[in-house]
Amino acid sequence: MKQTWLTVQEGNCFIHLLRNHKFKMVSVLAQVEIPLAKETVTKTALLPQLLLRATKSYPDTMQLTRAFDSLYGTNMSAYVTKNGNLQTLEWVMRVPGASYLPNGHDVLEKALTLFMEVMMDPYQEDRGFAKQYVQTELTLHKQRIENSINDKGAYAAKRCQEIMFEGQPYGLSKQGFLEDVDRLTADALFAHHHALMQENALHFYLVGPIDEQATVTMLTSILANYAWRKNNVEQHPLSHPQARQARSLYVNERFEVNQAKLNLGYFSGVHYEDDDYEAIQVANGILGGFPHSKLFVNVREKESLAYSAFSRYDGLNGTLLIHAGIDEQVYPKARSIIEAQIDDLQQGKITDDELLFTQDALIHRYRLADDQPLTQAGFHHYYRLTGRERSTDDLIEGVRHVTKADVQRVAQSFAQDTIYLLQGKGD
Amino acid sequence: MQELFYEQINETLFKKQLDNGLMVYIMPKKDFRQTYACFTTRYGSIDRSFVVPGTDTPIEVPDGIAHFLEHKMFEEEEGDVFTSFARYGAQANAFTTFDATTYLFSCTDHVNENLETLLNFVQHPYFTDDNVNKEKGIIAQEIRMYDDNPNTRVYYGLLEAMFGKHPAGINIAGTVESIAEITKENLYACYDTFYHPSNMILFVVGDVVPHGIMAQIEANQTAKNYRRQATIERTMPPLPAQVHATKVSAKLAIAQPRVLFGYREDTSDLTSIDRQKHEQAMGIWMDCVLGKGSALYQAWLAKGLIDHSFGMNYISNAWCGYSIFGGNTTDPDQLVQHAKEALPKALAVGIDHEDFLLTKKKAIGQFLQLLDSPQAIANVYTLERVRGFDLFDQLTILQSLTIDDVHQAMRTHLHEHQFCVSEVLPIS
Repeated sequence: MKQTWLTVQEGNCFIHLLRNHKFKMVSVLAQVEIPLAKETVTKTALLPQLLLRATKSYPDTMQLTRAFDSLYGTNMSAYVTKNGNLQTLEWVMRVPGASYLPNGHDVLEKALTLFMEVMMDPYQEDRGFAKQYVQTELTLHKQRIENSINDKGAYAAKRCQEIMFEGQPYGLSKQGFLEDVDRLTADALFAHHHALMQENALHFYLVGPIDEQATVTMLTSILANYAWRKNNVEQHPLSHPQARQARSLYVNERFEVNQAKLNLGYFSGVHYEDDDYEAIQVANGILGGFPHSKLFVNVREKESLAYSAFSRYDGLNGTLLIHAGIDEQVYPKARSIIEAQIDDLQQGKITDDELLFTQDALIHRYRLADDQPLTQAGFHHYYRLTGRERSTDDLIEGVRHVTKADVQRVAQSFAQDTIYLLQGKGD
Repeated sequence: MQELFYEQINETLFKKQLDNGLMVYIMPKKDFRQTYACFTTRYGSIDRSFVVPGTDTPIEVPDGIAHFLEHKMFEEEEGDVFTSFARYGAQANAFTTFDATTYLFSCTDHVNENLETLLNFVQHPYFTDDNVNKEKGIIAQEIRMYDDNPNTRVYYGLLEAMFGKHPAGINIAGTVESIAEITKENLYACYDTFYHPSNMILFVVGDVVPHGIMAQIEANQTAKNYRRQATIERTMPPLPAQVHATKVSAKLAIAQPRVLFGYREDTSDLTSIDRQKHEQAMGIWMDCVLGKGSALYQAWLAKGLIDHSFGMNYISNAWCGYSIFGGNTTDPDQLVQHAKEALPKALAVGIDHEDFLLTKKKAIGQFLQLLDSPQAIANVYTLERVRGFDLFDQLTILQSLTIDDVHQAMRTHLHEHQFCVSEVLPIS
């Protein structure tokens, strides 16, 4: 089934709608992008949770939470993410479709009104955020930054990327920095939020059982309350990290752990907007995307060195990241087996099955996006960032036509940059 | 084949018990691209002791063997089962819980071929000394990964406090030492006992034609000539009257303490309908008293005792139930002290009627959300079935719950001597 977005522009707000009655919930995603920079990363990262504390109509958190609960458990959450050199603020909400609720006709409108109020109209004291919420959230944010060591797998991947991108925007931690948290004040945060919402484009995605025209009318009238937002759209271009020759920098960190985490980071010259994007997705898939992949078969099944062994490709940065959880004594062996898999790709040692299974697995994943409302929005997001439009059908066609020679050619662009090992402290 | 229509959610479920005892459920989801199927046996980490069919005396097997068996099912004489699924573009996986083992796939093409693969590999064990020994290294790494994870450590710590050496306290994956004792012989003993179709459930969901899918499954099963199996004799020791420990503590390389606390209760004398109702009632009061919309949650957050990770859950099965509350904290002792005072007080004061109505409303929306995910429908339906529940009765039960039911659930649950704490502290 071919699905296309209906996009309506309202000032600097873009409303993207995808009507689909197979879903019982309406999924809503809002995004604002700004450049990643040391001066702003920490205060931006703090905003999502701070904004969820109180709004103009609901001046305390309990009231606000209960307002959402009364809309049949409509749930709103917020995050910061990094996309290349940009920091993205994201708000997500799921609202039960009206036809499944007793007296549900106005639930969506109320939910969208509240959603917008959380993003744009926080509860104020003396032209700033309420002091008591700022105090609590500053403390919680420091804890959030410190707690990033708790999940060792995620921490190791984060550290490997920070080392690869040292001195570049993507090398900044998405939650910001401890030493910057203490310097934030209620007033400065408020001014930052206001400028951020005033000067940047806002993208709104709605997917599910909706009436498109009625939804546009509804959103337009809600947006009319926020006329202070500027109409000219500031674009923040995506830029690629500086290309670097292979340097194979080895870094290790020690914690008291039972299992070591090995991460290998590679730069490639291929990005989302390139014609080779599908080929490099296939290359990553053959290497470590699936249970039939080289890493799973050779590191896990043949040698029993790891339970988890996989690779991920980031099309905005053009990077490949390999992860394996191992006993630290086998580090040299695990690393050489992993590197041998990269060599095989670069020499075109790929079986017919590896190519075919990977193409089919990727096609399955792209088709699954039709069943996952916000995955569709994710594709549209990449289009906005890169200017390269790819529907799921385009991706499927592209993947189908990738040859072994294509995979070998793009794999030759992999340049080993960082080897990061998180290991134990020893006895 | 029985056809059940649920008007309020506009869904239809087809079901049939085959001659060999297998329960089959099919749920059509129009316009969904994927078909998802899961094949589940009522067999998990708690099944430590049982009688192998054709023998007289119970045997005891090493901890973690159900999970080990799940891994080993993916190997066949001709190679890896993942390859057979990959050949038809499907993604396959499996997971083991305390009381069930599930094998699953998701595909957007070749439904029939993938369904055959699922049925055939789960009904064909192939264990050798070599392939069993080779798996030990992989699972040891899985166990070590969880050993470093504060979430799993604090959770198993709570189970240890509540249940001690009772099977309900076993880590699903076992330990590096316990899995070392696993042999192909004890794997076959477990397989022969628990993988008979009469102990299993198959659930298929997607844009499928129910009669066609059912016919395919029946043909596959009939050809295998299973003979009827007597009821499985599981030797589950009774729940000890006392908790094993009031507090369990561990240390990890983390930044902030993490704590879980809760009460356990014996539910073995309740019928499954009553247990399902009890579970719903538990969920309501726990959310009213300590959910994000409660005064206590906000007060503890303002005091810096908890962060946004604070959450709660109630888990029940045929022999016991337990509540879990907790998350990251700056001060485990103080948080637990507050909870020990607040929970009995909440029982004495009672649940506010408006809170009760609001929380019920919220639960309805959360239930609807599950219906947008074929995977969630199949997994949750099946796991609830294993525990004797019917997921699609949930909305009716929820709507019929009264505040008295909720107070009753609180009264039966909140007994001080059943309270346990588990904490994981930073290595300083």
